[in-house]
Amino acid sequence: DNALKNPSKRRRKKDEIDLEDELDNHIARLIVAMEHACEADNEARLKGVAATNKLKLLPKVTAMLNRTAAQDSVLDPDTNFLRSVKFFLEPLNDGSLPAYNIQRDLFTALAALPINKEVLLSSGIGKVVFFYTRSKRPEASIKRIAERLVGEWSRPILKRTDDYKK
Amino acid sequence: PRDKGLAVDATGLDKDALDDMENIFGNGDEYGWALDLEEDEEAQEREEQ
Repeated sequence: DNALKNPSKRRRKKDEIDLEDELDNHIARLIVAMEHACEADNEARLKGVAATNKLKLLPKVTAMLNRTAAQDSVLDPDTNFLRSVKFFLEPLNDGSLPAYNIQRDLFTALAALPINKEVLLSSGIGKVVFFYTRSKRPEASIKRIAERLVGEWSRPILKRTDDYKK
Repeated sequence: PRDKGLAVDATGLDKDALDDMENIFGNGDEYGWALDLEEDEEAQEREEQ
C-alpha cells in the first residue's frame, strides 16, 4: 500500500540498501584477496622469486581507500578494512618492507582519512605506522608521513588527559 | 639498543590514556623481530666493508 502511495521514496531506499550491500560485499571480497596476496608474497620471498601479488592488487586497494562514498564502510571497525591495509604495510617474513609504491600509496591514502580511536583500536594500523617511524629502511618521505600520522592519531588521546586537568 | 616506546612525556597522563596509546601503537615489540633482522643485516654489511 505504501509503495503505491510513494513509489519513488520506497524505490530509492531499496536502491540505497542494495548499494550498501554491494559495497560491503565488494570490500569483503577485497579483504580476502588482500590476505591471499600477503601470503603469496611471503611464499615468493621464501622461494627467492619476485613478490608482486600485493603490488598487482594495490590499485584496487588504493581506489577503495580514496573512494569518498565508501569511507564509512572503509572506516567501520566491524568491516575492519584497515586491518588488511595493515597487513599490506607489514614487513615480510625476511624483514624486508613491501614495495615502495605500496608504502607511498597507502600512507598517502591513510593521511587523507579521518581515522578515529575506534578504528585504530580494531585495526592495529597504528602499530605498523609506528614501526615505520622506528625502522631505518623506509625512505625519508615515508617516514615523515608515518611520524605525522602517529602525532595526529595520538593527539586526541593525549589531549583528553589535558582536559581532565583543567 | 634503540628506544622501544613512543617519545611521549608520560607525566600527567592518566592510566586510560596510557593504555589507549599502548593498544593503538603497541609496546614496541610487535615488529621487534623485523628491527632485529635490520640490525643484523647492518652489522653484516659493516663487517663486509
